[in-house]
Amino acid sequence: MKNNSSLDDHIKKQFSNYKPDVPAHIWQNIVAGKERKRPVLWFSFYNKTALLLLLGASIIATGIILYKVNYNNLQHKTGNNSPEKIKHDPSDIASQNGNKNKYTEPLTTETVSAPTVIDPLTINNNSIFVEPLEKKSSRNKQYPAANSDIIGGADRQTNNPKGRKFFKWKTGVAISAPDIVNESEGQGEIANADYNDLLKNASYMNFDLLHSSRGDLSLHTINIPELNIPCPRLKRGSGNGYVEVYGGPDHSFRSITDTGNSVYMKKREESSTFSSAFSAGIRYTKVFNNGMSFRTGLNYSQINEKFKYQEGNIIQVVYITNANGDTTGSFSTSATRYKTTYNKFKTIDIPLLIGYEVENGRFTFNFNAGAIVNIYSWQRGDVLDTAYKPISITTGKGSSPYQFKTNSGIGFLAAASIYYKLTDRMHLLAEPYFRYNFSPASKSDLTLKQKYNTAGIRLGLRFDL
Amino acid sequence: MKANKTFFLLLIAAFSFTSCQKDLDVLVVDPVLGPDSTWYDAISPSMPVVGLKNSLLLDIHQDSFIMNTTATAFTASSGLQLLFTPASLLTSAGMPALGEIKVESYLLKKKGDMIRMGTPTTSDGKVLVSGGELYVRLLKDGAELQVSQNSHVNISYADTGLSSQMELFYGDATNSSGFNWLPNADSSNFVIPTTVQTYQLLTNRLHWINCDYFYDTSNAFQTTVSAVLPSNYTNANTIAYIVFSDIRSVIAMNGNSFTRKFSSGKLPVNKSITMVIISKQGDNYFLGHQQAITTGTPGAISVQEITVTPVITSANDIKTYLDSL
Repeated sequence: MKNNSSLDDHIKKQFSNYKPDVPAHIWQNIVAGKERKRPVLWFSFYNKTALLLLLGASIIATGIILYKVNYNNLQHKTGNNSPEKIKHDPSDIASQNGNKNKYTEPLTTETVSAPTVIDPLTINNNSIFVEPLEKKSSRNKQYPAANSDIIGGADRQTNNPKGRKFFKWKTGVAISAPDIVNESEGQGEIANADYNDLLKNASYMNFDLLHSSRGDLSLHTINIPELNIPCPRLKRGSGNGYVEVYGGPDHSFRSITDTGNSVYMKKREESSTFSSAFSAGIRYTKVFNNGMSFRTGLNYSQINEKFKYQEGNIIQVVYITNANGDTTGSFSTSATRYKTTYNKFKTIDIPLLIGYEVENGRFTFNFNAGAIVNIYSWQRGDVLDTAYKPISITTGKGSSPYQFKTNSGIGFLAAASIYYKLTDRMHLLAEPYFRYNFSPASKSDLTLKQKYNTAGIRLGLRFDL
Repeated sequence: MKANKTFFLLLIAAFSFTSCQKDLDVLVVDPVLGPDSTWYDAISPSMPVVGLKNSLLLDIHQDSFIMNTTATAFTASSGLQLLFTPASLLTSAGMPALGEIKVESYLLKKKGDMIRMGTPTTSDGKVLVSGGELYVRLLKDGAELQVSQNSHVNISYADTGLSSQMELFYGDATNSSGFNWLPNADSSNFVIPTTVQTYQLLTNRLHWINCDYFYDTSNAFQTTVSAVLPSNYTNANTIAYIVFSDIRSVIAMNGNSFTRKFSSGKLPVNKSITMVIISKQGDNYFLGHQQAITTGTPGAISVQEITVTPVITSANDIKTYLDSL
């Protein structure tokens, strides 16, 4: 076949500079294709802008997915980290974790040789890496795996006896190395002369495979390893408001004073003792972005005391009557009177409190203090008068100097509210507090002054607005 | 939602628990069963009967006169007329009393007044018929005066139905059994009957003086009378008297802790009497009276029981009744 080889050389020589004319309909088709109106959000692999946008979206989406996956893994493992509260910096995580697997090696650390394929488009980012393309074309070449949406590959063939280029391309969605699914391929023919131009404008990507040190041709994906998450930093208030309902037991601290440390004061102190106390209410708190808070609401408080009085040698006369109804005799008996009254001191107040709120995971703390304004006070029960006899202090029943005020004025209140998050909008409340009243509860008609201060703990529920 | 429900249920339970306590105001009587029906051997000043007697006492008449070296006559507001001879009154130092002399006196002619003053007309248990009981006490500068042994005070008072049998008796309040009249043992003391409706007596003793004579019961059957009373009438809270309707004679019924009864001494039978029961129980007064005729059998001292049921009354009503006796 000696003669054939001379013929081939001859033909080559003759057609080395041959540039055939492109049929007009091809250019028209190309121009028409460019000018055709695309639907909104039309995506074409032949549009660089679209591809750039797609790439950007892919990067963002990949980042979001990676973040969610990593955070879910953390929550599952640690159990107390709110995914939305923790932000991971992948580079920090990668450097903190010593566990390595084939998917965690940062690809940028591998040395790659410069691509030998002339291609104006190279991709080099965290998700997709490129490596030199093997010279020989092979349909069985494994394409890189990536977490991106679509990868495209082109396989160029240069052998064309007519001086035209024959192109093949592949697109595929990789889910894990080294598999490829949904692969599709296409082909087309174009003159060599236009090949280079077309190459520049072709909407395909040429992926170079990265050779890892182990010879894997697969891209590595980054998985966030199991980490030991340090304690999150305290966060200031979120700038929201919330409503609370609460109630709880109290303890009152009573002080009785009188001029000259009188005997009456001592008798009155001994005549009644603290029994129980409680408060309940509803309130609204507004937390500002700087963590400061303002709180107000309606509070009901009640202090219960036990008043005991005993009077002996009370003479009672008993009459004797006969059948006719005539009183024929009488006799005296002595008796003892036992009186026990459960005194109740009730108030309705409006708190006006300034505080500072901080969050720490599922816990939130609010330290607050301010004025508590008494709206109305009323009482029920008995106390000793100066003759050491019981006298009623019930509000509305007569008027005596022994009764108490119906408005005790302003007091000071300080509290530390602790919230535990049950759901996104509901917290459990526990709040120790102390209340100091500036004015005595007793009227000024007597020299004796009776005053109450209160401490207690409130439990309740908080509903975020 | 479940947490909300649980929380509110706990709140409601807590609030309702603290409001369930009830006030208490009770009178617990000391363990004494019924009235005091105790009889006592001796009456103490704290017993109600002492208060009863004090509440019935008459107001004493207080007067004064000027004693000089001549005979002095004085009429007290009680109705007694007093005639003092010079130097008949001596101080505790034995000196004749001159100048202002204060006189305290009673003149009891009503049987009710005798009950009020607690001066029954009995002498060692024997019935006396009284011509009037009188009381005289003389004071100078707060100190009591005495009548000179060699002198007498002439006391006279008006009365009706004078009796020539009257003799002097002096009262003895120191007897624990009750007030007793003792016959005059000094012959220089005597009662002078007059034709004017006046009893006049000479005495060198003062205080309680009585013009009486013994009721002759030598030929009369006698009986003792006892009162039947509810159990709550005891000698600690009750006094009992028998008043004769036709003679000025009041007999005290003594309370016997052994028999738990009020009983009189020997009384003549067939006499119209009124048994008067007065009691004070607590702050209440009770009065009961029952008329009867003393009865008895010859040859024996009978015991006659009369039932009286006192009823509640006032002290003034008791006095009013006694004034009517």
